[in-house]
Amino acid sequence: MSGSWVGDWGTGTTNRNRVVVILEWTGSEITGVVNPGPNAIPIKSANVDPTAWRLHFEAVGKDAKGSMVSYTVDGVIDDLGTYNRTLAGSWNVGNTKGDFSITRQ
Amino acid sequence: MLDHNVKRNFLAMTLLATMTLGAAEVAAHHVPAAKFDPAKPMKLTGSISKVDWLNPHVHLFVEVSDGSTTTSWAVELANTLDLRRSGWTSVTVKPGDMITVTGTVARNGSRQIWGDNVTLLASGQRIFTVSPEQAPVSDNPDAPTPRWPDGQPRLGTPPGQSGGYWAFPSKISLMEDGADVPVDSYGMLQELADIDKVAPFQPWARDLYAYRQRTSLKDDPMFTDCKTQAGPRIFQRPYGVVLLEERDHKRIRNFWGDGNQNWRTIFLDGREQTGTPEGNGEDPLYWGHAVGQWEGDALVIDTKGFNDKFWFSNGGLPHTPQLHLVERYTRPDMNTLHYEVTIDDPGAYTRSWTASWDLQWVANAELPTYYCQDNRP
Repeated sequence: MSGSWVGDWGTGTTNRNRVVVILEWTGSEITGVVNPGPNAIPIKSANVDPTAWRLHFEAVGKDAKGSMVSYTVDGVIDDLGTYNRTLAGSWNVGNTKGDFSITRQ
Repeated sequence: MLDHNVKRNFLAMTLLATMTLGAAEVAAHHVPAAKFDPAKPMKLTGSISKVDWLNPHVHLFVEVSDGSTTTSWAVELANTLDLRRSGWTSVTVKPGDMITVTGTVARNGSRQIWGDNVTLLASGQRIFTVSPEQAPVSDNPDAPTPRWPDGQPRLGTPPGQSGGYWAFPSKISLMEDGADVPVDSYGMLQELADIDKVAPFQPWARDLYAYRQRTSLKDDPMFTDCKTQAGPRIFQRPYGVVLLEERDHKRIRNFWGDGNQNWRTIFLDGREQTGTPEGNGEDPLYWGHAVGQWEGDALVIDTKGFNDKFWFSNGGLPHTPQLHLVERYTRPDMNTLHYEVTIDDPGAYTRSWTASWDLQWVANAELPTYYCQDNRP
């Protein structure tokens, strides 16, 4: 799970944005950050269900207008046997929902 | 006299330390700091239980006793190729030998140490030091460009030589021409503040590059998973490149002395560029679909169809499946290959940009066999 994951997110097939997610497994918890840069969004809490490899995390950061918003993200890790495993699922901020797909690089 | 000897010894030791420090950088398959914490130095003394002489890195397993308990440690060293070049072999030490090791401890808390300094206790000899390989001095430095009978430059071995390859790149990290940013042998920036000089990043790519640099390139899939390198990185690795011209078949096989015996094919038969991120029958994805043609004395190669599962530069520059490379190879004289690459990847960069460097011909030699196999965490 630890590493940098790169892919895209959006609200439809044409409205896509690049996203970088850094995940670290410390041995007892998952930490990380979305878009590690000046506008980084730290992951507040995260958990994984290893029976189905479902990952849930929540992060708080600024939206495009600078307002603080909470992101809720749920995804499933696939291609577990490869280094370049994938994580895909859904996200929502308030009433806005969308999907994402990222690959560990 | 004594003072003179002390000064001479000090100078010799300083020179040796400088050489070996540099060599350690050159020799490693990964940045030591990616796996070992420079803030956690350690010294241990123990008895060797096993010599693990494998690629990509040699390990010594050592039993360390404090009188009441014994713990097992793994000492990681350079790779077999660089150690062998420096005069060391798998029987330099044997099980039962006592050694003292100073180095840094693994970040993940496991009992592993990077062997900065290994000393054989019985003799006091420092062992497994690595001397940087020196570029060969040509016995014919002014020799002109070798050519085929039709006048086209030869990119490989000229008549009269028994093999050869290109190595010793004049730059070991990909950055836009003119940037002139100091980096180490792994592509780590000396000053992270120089980041915006390296390439015209899209914001996400800049963030990811900065993260990779801050974390000592620890996620490099070549290190973590023995994944191949591709693109211009092939021409900046320390173990050389072969361009095998198969004129009868109108293609060039491009081998490199690093990785897992990988190669790519450059088609010169006029076929169309069909590379796509999804791949196809002749598209290996990691190396892209390469088609080339001669423009005067320059071979111009157009490559598309890369995936984004590898790093295409030593320092961790990001790319996307939109990556499109145009490479130009010229051989201005016998001993020089000038390599130029234009990077067009609107997914990761705001505009196309160009980098170039020279490689040196190593005559009458086989490509070194250094493979990333038997990888261990």
